[in-house]
Amino acid sequence: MTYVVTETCVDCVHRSCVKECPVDCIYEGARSLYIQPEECINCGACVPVCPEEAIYFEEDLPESSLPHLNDNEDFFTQTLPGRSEPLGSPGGAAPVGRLGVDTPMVASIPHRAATLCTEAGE
Amino acid sequence: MSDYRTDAIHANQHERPFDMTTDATVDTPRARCPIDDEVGATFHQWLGDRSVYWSDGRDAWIVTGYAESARILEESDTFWRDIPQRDGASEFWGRHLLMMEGRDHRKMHAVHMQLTGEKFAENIRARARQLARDLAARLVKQGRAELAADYVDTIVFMIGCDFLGFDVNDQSLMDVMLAQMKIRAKWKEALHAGSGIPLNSKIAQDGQAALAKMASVLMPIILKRRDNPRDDLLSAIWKKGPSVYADWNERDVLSTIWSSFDNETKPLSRGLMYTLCRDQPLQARLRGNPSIVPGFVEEGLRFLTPFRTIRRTVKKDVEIGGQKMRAGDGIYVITPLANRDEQKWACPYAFDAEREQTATHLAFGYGPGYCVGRYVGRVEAEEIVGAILAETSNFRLDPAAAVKPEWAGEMYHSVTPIHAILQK
Repeated sequence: MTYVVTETCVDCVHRSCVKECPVDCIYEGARSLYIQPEECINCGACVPVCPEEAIYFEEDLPESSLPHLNDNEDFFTQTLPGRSEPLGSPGGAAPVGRLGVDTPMVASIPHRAATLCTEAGE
Repeated sequence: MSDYRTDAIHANQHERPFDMTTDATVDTPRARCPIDDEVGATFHQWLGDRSVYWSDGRDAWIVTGYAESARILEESDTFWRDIPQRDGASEFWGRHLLMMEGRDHRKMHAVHMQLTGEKFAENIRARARQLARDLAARLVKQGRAELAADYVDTIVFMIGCDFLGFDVNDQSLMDVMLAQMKIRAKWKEALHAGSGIPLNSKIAQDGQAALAKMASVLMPIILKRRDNPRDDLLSAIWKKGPSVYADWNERDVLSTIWSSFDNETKPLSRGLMYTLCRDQPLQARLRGNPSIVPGFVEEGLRFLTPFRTIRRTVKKDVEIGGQKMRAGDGIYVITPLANRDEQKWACPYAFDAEREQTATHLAFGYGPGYCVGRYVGRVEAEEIVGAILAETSNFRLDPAAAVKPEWAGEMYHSVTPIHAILQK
C-alpha cells in the first residue's frame, strides 16, 4: 500500500509534502512529484499539507486518477528519458535532488498556467 | 549490574548491552550523560535473545528491532490496534481517532494534521512561551519546586487549555480538570496494559466518574463554541469534524480534545527536566545557546522514548523477524529499543543532545498511526525547557528531598518526583 501523487500536482509542485514526509520518499521530476511506493510508510502526513489536494491513499484514489498509481511506481522502476537505468529505491529524495524528467504519462499532460495553482499555504 | 551482559543479549543483532562498568558504548569526545545507564536500566527487561520473540508472561510477541518495529507500525492491514475491542474503550475514547481504522482513520488523521500541524504549532509558540515563563518565574520565587507536577504537568495542561480556548485564569475549572485528569490517567494506563481492565473495576469506575465531572465543566464551553465560534481549536474542531462524521456532536469534540490535556509531552518533559538536573554541563550549554534546545528535545524523544510500548494485534498470519505470527496474537513494540539501532544511530545508548538525528525515531510511532500531535508536542517541550533555562541561573535536584526520583510507567514512561532547587 502507498500514497500516490496525482495530476493536480503537475506544474504546481509546492513541495509542502516533501518537507512533511518523515522518510523523505517524495521525489521531484520536472513537472510533478512522485512517491516511492517501497519507501512510503503510509503515514499520510503528506495529504493534508498539499494545497492542491493531489495526494491520495491508493485505496481512496478517484477513478480518474487511478493511472497515477502505476505511474508513480513507473517513475522508479522504468528507465526515464535521458537516463541510463531506473531510479529504483535510493532511500531518500534529498540526496537525489530534482531529476528534471517525468514519466511519459505526466509529460504528456497539457501544461497548466501557474495562475491555476493554489497559493501555497492557503 | 553486569547481569545485562548475557549471551542472549549478545545474540541480538539489534541490541547492545548496557555496559555499566566501562565506556565501551560511548566513544564520542563528549563526556557521557549521567542518565545513560539509568535510563538503559529501565527497559532491560524487554531484551530477549532475538529482535522478535515470544513472551509467555506477556502472552504476546515482543519486538525490539527497528526494521521489524517499523514494519509492524507501517503495515496496518496486517497489524493494528486492539483498543476498540477492550472493555470500556468506547466509554473512555468515544469516537476517537484511536478507535478507528482504514479509511475513517485516514480521514480523521488528516483532519487532525490540518488542525494541529506545523503552522498551528508555530502559532501557539509565543503563547506557550509566555505561559511557561510565567509559571517558571513563580516557581523560581519559591526557590524550590517539584518539577514534574508543579511545572511540567501543569504547564502542558495549561498550554493545551489555552489553545483549545478554555480560560486558564478560571481557577475552579483548572482545579477540577487537574485533579480529575490524574484519575483518568490511571484508567488510561490500565486500559492499555495487558488485555485491559474490566469496566466494573474500581479504576474504571473512578475513571468514568472523573470523565463525568470534567464533562460537566467542559461541555457548556464546548457548546458555546458551537454556537459562537472563536479563533481557537475548539471552534476549528466543530468546523472540521463533520467531514469525518456527518452527525458530529459535542461528545465527539470532547473525545477529540483529551490528548491536548494529557499527552506524551508530559513524560518527555519530565525526563528532560530530570536530565538537565543531572547533567549540569549540558544545562549550562543549553542556557548559553538556546538554539540547541530543539536538538536536545529531539534526542530526548529518541533516547527517553516516553511512549515506550506500542500495542498491536496480528490481523492475519505473517512471518516477521524469522518468527511466524498468527492472527489474533498480541504484540508489544518496544520503541526505546528500536530507537537504539546501531545501524541508524552512532552510539545509540548514549544521550547526546547535540547529535544529528540520522534516522526517523519511533517516539511518535510510525506509519498510519504517526502521532498527530508531534508538532505541538515539540513546540511545547522546547518552550518548557527554554522557559526554565531562561528563568534560572541554575536548577538541580534537591539533595534534602525525602522522596527520590523514580522511573515508572509501561505505556507512558517517566520520572517523578523531581524535587529541585531553583536559583534565579
